[in-house]
Amino acid sequence: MPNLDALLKDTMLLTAAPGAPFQEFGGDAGDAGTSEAASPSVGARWTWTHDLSNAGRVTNLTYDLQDTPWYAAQTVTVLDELVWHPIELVHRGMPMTLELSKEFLLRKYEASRGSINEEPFRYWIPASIDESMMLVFGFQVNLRGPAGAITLEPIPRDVLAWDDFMPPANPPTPPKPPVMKVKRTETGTLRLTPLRVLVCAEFVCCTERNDYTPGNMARTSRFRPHLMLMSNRPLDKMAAKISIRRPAMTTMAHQMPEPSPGEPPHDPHAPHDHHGAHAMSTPTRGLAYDQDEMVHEMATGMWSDSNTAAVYWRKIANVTFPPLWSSIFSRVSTDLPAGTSFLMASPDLKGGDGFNTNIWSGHEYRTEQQQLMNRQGYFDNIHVAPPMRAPKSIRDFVKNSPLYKLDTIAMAPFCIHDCLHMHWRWLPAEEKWLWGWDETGPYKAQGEPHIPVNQHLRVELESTHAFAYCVRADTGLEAGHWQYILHEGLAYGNTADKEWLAKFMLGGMQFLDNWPSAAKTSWAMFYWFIRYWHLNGVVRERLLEDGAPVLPPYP
Amino acid sequence: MSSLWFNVPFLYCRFRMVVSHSVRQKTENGVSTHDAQVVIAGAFRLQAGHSVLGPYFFNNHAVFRVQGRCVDAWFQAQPGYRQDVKTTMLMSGVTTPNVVSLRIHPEHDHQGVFKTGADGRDPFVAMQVDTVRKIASANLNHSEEEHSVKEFRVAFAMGEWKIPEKPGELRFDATSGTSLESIDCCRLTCERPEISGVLRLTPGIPAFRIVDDSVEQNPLPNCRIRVRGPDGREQEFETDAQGEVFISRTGDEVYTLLGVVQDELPLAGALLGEWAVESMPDLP
Repeated sequence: MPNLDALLKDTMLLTAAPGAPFQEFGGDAGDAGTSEAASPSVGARWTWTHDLSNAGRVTNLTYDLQDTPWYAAQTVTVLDELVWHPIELVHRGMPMTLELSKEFLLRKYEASRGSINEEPFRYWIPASIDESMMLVFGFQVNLRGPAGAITLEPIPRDVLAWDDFMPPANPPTPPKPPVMKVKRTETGTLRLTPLRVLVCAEFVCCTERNDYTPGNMARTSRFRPHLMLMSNRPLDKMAAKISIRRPAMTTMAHQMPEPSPGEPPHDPHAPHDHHGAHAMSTPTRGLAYDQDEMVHEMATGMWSDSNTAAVYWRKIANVTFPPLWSSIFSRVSTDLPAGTSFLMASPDLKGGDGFNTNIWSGHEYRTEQQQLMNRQGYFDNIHVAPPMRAPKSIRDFVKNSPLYKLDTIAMAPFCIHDCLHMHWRWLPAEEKWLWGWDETGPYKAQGEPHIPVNQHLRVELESTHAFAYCVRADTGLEAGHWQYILHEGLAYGNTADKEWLAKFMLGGMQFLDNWPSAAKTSWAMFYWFIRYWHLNGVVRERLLEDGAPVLPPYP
Repeated sequence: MSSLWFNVPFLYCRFRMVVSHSVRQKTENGVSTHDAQVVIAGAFRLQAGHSVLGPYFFNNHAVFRVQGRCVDAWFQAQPGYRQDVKTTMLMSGVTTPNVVSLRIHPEHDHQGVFKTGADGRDPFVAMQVDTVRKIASANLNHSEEEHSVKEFRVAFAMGEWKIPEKPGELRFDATSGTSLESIDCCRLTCERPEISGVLRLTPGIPAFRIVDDSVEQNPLPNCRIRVRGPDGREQEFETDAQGEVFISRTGDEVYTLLGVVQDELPLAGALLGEWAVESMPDLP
């Protein structure tokens, strides 16, 4: 039967760095000191700030990007903040709220080095960790509290060392309760065990890898801000919410556009137009002022993978058949407004015949019914990134036709700059690390959500650059079992896995031959083309955006 | 010399001591830390053994449950060199039976002395001591461990404690006596333990105690329990402030605790845990 140290071996941080040091806290342990902002270790690419007085919040997450063909080396702000909101539980009809505050903090672990190496992976896929931490909170019902109410107190430190601190995951048949008899010369003492809940809030930052997408096409750096929760009694319900908030404006620096011929040179000290755009330093062969640009403001888009798209993902890097959105995705919504909310995974959702998709045939929109996987919800992923803008010569080329929408071009299925990705489901891919959960754990069910099978996931947009990841469960909350919340983690996109291949692909895009020459070196136009069809000034989305009206056939 | 305490045949004592502190000190080239977390608890009856010196209550075989640990760590680091020493002391068990006594001095304003041990003997419990020493430098990486078993003494004395002239329940804590000596497992500069307890004049010992499952066994007051008496009749009782239920018992009858009434928060979600019986045979 497990004590605290045994239980914590299940966490990602202690799997990667088993001997990580920790500070002890806890209501009866006094104050073991306060912690300031985490100081980055030498060589760390991730940095963040955590203040114990606001324990459920990590701020100013930055990543130190290396030089790529698309942008210079720099440090970018990935998140303004991440907030672990209070966890709501119900036990035998009694609601309670677990505030992840210093009052209930038992331990804080920190590690900046460690790795999870090879298969068979049960809960964690291979990773090397960077600047990371884990907060361990302990809550118990105060049995001495006022009648008729629930008050919580920290779990006493001595309890944590008990072997039966939490029940075993598969308990043997419980023994018969003792007969509690006393004679005249005896005192019988009955101990009551309160409901106890252990919560681990991990903030594990990982080094760059190429295993976030099918086909190992992109290099991304994951971070895993998940919660793990275990109770000593079965729970009726659980609800948790994690807010993920990017800055409103991108912090990525690109070189300013060169002035057009005849225009005065830019003053680098002039007031900065945050509503304008930055030029991107693509390996241009054209005029320096005629480059891809990046909009300052963040935007949020959501996509669903087509469940029949594996073949397209495998052949994604080619110059003849680019990955059109109509073949890769089944549903899309870009530039979503604040307040938008969707059910993304649920045990109530059965696979089979699903929603209809409108796909442009080259003449008209055809309706195709999608076949869904079990528990698959409205969208599969969310991307928060500044959109791109086509080079000036191209915008001028079609300036009398606003249908082209060349001022805000969403990046997908991979992103060339400053993009935060989160996928809670992937198409049925070959790679096991892209498989979802079954009853026994993650990475088991091809094409199913990366969410424990008892959880309902809803994603709500707090703003155009922030969202809340909300889960609830009302089954499967057994005693002695971990509940994982946001186990799938997030990733920050860095660059292509093979930069030479990406450059080759960009340089050979014959499908942009009819555009001004700047299109041949433009990622923005690549993204535009795989989303839009056009002919003689008529523009159509290859995959009609979710909820958009069906436009008439090509005349 | 007179005192109404001469008329008291015995006292029922429940005692608790909690050592809990954490100390961190920076030294010139390193840091030393000291963390202690020990709970000592006991329940016993004190028998009257009055003498011409005054009222006196004692139990020659009282024991305490002890559980906890102390961790002392220290490191020193200089460029190219680091030395670490960590000592962990673990105590868990029941002390050797020893004397606990209360002496009252009526002629000195009814001042009392409450203490453990006598004649230089203190109750103790075995303590596992593990020490790890590490040295790391450019030329040397060395680590050694030492394991031993030592005694953790539960020595406690509270003096100059003003006892009321009229016998009654006595509660005490670290402020009750102006003269206090307590366990010396820690450094001289450490915080003193938190001490609390109660001495009751009761016609008997409690039949039942309802406590939480921490080492401290915090009492759960106002907890309703269902009890079946020797006549088979079921009755409901409510625990007092010490989590205890007293039932007047005179013969060899047996009372059975059937359960805790869990119809109201916060007890509604509690799990019935360990059951233990302490025997306190009649004193001669």
